[in-house]
Amino acid sequence: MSPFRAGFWKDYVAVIVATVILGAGAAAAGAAALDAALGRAVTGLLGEEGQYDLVVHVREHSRDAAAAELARLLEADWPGAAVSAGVTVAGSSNFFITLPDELKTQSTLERLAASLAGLPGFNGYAWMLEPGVTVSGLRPGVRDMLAQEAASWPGVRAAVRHGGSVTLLLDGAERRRPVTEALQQRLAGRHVLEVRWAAGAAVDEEAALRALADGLRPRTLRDVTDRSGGGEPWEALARRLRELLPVWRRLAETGAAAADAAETLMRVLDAMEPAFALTETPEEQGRRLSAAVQGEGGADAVRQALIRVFAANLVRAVGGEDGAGPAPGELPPREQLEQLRTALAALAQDAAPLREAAREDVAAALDALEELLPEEPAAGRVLELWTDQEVTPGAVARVLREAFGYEAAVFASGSGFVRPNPRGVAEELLADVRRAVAGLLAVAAGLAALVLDHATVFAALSRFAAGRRRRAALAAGVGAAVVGGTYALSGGGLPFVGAGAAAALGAGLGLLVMALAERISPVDDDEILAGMALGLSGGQIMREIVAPAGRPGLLTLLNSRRRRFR
Amino acid sequence: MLRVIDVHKTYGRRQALAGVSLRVAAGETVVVMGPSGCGKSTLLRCINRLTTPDRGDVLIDGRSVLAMDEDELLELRRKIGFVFQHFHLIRRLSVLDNVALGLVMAGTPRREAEERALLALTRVHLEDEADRFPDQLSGGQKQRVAIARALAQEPRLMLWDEPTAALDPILVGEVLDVMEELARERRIAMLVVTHELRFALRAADRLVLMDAGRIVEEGRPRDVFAAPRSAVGRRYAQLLVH
Repeated sequence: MSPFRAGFWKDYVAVIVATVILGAGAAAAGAAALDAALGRAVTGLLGEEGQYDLVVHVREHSRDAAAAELARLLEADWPGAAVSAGVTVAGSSNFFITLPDELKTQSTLERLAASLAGLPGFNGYAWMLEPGVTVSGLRPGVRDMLAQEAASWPGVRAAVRHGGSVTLLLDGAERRRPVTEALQQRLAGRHVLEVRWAAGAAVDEEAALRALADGLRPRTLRDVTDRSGGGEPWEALARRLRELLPVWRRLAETGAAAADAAETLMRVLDAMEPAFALTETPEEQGRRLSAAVQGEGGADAVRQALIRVFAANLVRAVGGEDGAGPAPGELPPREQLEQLRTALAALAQDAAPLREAAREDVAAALDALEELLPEEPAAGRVLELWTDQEVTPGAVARVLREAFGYEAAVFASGSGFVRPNPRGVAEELLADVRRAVAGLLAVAAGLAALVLDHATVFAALSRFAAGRRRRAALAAGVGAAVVGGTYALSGGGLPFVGAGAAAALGAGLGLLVMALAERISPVDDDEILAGMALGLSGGQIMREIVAPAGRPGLLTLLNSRRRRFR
Repeated sequence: MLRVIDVHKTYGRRQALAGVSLRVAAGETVVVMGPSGCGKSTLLRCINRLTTPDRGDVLIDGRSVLAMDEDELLELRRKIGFVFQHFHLIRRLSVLDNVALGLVMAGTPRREAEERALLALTRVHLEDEADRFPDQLSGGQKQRVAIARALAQEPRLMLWDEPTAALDPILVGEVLDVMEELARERRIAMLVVTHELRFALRAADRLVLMDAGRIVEEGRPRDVFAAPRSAVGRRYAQLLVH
């Protein structure tokens, strides 16, 4: 006797379908609710998409001055732009800038970023252009090349260069994926080779490129050498350090000389003390000497200043301008002298470490720094190539050596990488979370349906002389359909769990529920036997006796419509 | 009406029936007695194929029960009343619905089914309990509802599987009274498995004694008890004396 006769199989299929649809809907709704809640949290942190275009960081102590200057700058040069102050974190204050659409062009955005460098306490900036995609880790030549190419791609509104990155501002969020894929395709399988020629080599770069193209036959070979003089940030830093080295040496020497001069002056003061009774006012002498000490003339200037002071005072001491002593009301000369001596002692004390360090440690440190700084390549001594990853540094060096006898050091660096913007990362994370939650809820809904609805059917099956294998097959099939279907329809996406794996999991759960069916939803043997004895078909027994006595669920709900005895 | 021909049934290693043959004529009341586990209940269940025999055959009105397809079998069961030891009422249904259930499921219109159910309840003197539920009834009342449920289908054959065994001795009488009344009417053939000796003496046309899956003795109840030929018969005879 089959329990699925008398149309009960239709009811049962309807229950499975309804379970899948309702379970998937519930799972998707639950996940969407969580998604919305988390989305609000992201919006609270990052603002609405496109609300801000640029965040400017300034040092906390310059916050007020920077705010004023930023407001002035935007009002004067970037009409329509709005600025709002953000939080201060770890000594860095932030200002969020919103730009009108007409300003969102490559040249305007790059000029705006460049103009920020003059802000008081400027500590960098970051683009928040949305919807956008950022590609980083680019050599300057590659960055420029990529920016130029991408600017003409469909959906790309502007390609903004900043540092070793290019941020592509897109027409819509839906363009993010195709543009990202296009960028990845452009960067995939390629790298940058930096060819550094030996010193003094006379190189014909065009001939070298031709030789490489002929010798290695790469799909891509492009000269991306940055000849603008800009270069990487670290290169600019090295160049600046090289410029500062002589200044630091002079400062160190001047400091040492100042210390020497201060000590000498104190000795002179001691020797000339009697003569100072008729000197000019100590304030004037102090200012004169201080100017000499702080000036760029070094020890000689200080000595000359001293000589001038002493000579003038000596003259006064011998003949005097008016032959009189200090004017009435002036401080007593002795006190002034003591003040000068105190100031000189402090100066000598402050400068003493400098003098000692300058002669040994500072000089040595500056020497070491000079040695460590890379030698600035002369124009034409570096060639950067954008080419296939299969083109190795060794192969390039070999071709150049064989073709021209050039000795060159060749280094490889990455082609760059696509870096989703913070909102993109957050949205991807949220999408992952939503999919995972939907998946979990789908499995939970499927398991609930198996327990509430199908355990009753599984338990009743054994009363209808269904063999264990048939019951197991039905339980596994129903479990796979319910859990797998709900999972797939809900858009669930647990890590490493596809729809097939979910169906397999459902089959396992179905078998488990079947094994525990008697405990989960026991059926009354006596009532089933009575139904059989009365001549009820299997379907009628399921509908009128078994299902109504089962746990409340979709089966009992849907079954009640067709039950004769309510 | 009913012929049981050399029926065998085995559960695992235990042989419940070892070649049972039996006849029941229309309107006849046959009582089957024997010790527990001798195969009496299995015999009843083989007749309406609640249990399928391993061998042999069961003929009702000349038709083999074992050869029937599922629809024929369901039709047959509707014409065979079955009264269980433990009543087997549907607890969520009222008394009236319990009695009408088989009729409605067989296609009888609801109103007609309820009228017939009420008549059946009247026959067992429970018409006033129609709206109550099984859990609100005594054991004897439950069994009378079960009898009414079987009677409502107007069977030509009724199978009784120890209908009084689960009842308080005080309540046994009300069930036996109904059974005896039915037997006297002789409209329905009845095969009654019971240990009620007095019922057998008063109502049975024939007594069949079983032991170890076989029929060991049969005849008119008075004859069997007066001169038992089997050990089982002798034990029952002694019980009757006491």
